[in-house]
Amino acid sequence: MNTDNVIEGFFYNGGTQYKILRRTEYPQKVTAESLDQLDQWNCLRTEFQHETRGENIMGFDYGPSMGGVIESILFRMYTNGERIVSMSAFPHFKERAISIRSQPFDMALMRMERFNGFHSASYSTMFCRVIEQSMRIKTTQSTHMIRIIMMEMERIASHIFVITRLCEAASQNIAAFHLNALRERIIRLAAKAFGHRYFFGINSVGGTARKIHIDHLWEDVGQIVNEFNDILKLLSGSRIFIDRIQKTCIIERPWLSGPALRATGEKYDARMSDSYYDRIKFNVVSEMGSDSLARFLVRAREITESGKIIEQAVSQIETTKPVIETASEKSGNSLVRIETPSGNAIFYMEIEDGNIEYTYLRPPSLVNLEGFLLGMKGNVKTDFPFAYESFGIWVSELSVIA
Amino acid sequence: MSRWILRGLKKGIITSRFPKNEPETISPWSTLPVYMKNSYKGCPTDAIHNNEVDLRRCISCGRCSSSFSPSLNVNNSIILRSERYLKKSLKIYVLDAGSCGACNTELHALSNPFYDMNRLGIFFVNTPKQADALFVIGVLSEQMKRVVKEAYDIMAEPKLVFAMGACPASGNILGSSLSGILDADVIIGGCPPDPFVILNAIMNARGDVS
Repeated sequence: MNTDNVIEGFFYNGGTQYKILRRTEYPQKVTAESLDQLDQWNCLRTEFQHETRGENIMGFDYGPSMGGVIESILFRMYTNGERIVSMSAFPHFKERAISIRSQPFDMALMRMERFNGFHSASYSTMFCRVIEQSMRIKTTQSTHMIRIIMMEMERIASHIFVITRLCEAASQNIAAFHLNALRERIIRLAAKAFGHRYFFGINSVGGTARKIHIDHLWEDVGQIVNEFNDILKLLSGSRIFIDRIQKTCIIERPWLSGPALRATGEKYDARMSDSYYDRIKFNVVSEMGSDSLARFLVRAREITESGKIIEQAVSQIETTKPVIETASEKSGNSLVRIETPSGNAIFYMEIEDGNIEYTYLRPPSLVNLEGFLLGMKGNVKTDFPFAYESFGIWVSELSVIA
Repeated sequence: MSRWILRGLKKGIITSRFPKNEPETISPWSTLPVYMKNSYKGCPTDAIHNNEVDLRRCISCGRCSSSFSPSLNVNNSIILRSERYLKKSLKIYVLDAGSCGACNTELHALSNPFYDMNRLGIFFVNTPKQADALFVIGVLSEQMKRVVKEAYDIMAEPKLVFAMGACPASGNILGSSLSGILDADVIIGGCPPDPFVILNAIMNARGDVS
């Protein structure tokens, strides 16, 4: 399937509409007529409603605050019994309006770190890179490698967390405890190396802001990856676990993002075309099946790839001291793609005289939430937790950036 | 099943001895910074006055590292009211009022084998009706105000309200605090607070001495 023409983002700026195609580096002008036929049109406008009316069909609300899902969001399942006919989501309960326009870069960066705190390394790197590209700031090789290490450690922690949640949902509690302990170990490594469990305060526009401590980091990460693979072998042998997630929430759409897309067999990963990864060798993982099992397997195999990436990045670091480069231009615009653990995020920014004038951010959870809702059609209510957790959706990402 | 048990036995006991012993590790910049040298101006949340840091406002950004260094002190909370009746068992309901996700995962970490909050009689519940403590995380978004109030109202007495992290304590740099909707009994500092800091705050709020 050719997915080059997939529309990944859409925004208005100065009365003109723009679209962002996959594998392109700039937004393109577009007419409204050509967009409203799109399958993903609703979710690009943050609308997730799929109401079904009919005899004996009722809307069953789950949320906005509940123990089963760790973030606040309201789901409405349209059902005539056990089977879900369609499903809507209302993610705006915990919506935060995060203002970065006209803010000093430092303040805007701190807000971006807290856009999705669990994926803060990815989003802070993306923010710094879009400014660095726009203002032609030439960053060092060490900065690139430090950012790669942060993002890959974050990916390992995030993937283990998603798999843990999947195990908890499928009542695999012993596996969940083992995995939870592994995630804690990788987060403690982050705290030891970077001074913060979620990498807050490390990134800075032009480089990195604090000295890092990466002695023996690769050995420790390698041990965690090996232990994860041991757990994976045990988990893959559990018929109960596999039966629960196989053929659950099957969804195959070219506009999905990250592990959800690669679980459809599509080998697309934003890191393939990312200049930071030019000197890094890794495999793009994909699986067939498009179900919760395939999404689980993609994440599991990506943990090993992230381990390999960290090993290479550590060996290419020249200095661990903070280095911040300065700008050569005051104005410019740029589009940056980052492969966050949940999928590829797209950030477009315009800078005028050193001020942030316009921003557009399309997080992966925007499209993956729609994928989850469409995939749930025909599933039963008890499939909900396995299906939802397999996407690794973060509701915090659906906050408004302006 | 036996292979899981064997793996568990091979790993030995990894659970912390806290609060009997000191925490094995702590995230440096999640603890309150203490003054070292030189004056620092320009704290993004105005948390520093007379070289003292207000834990309600500090967002663990580390921008003050030229003058301040992390205290590594687990005691990073303000206990406004404690409840001794909850000393042996505390059921927690977590309410995400507009968080970034970091506090959610730190609370989730409390149940991992390193912290094992169950050994201290601390449990998560899925409804505020069964809860003794309401943990509010994140800045208070407009649409969650009603949800927070309703959750508090249906909780049975005695009950405690925890404002966890800089967001509900002061609004952080992203929005509104819990103030005006609910009165927090316990304020836990950090962005996000380290799991040991959370455990320490819980123990203090129910009358234990750490």
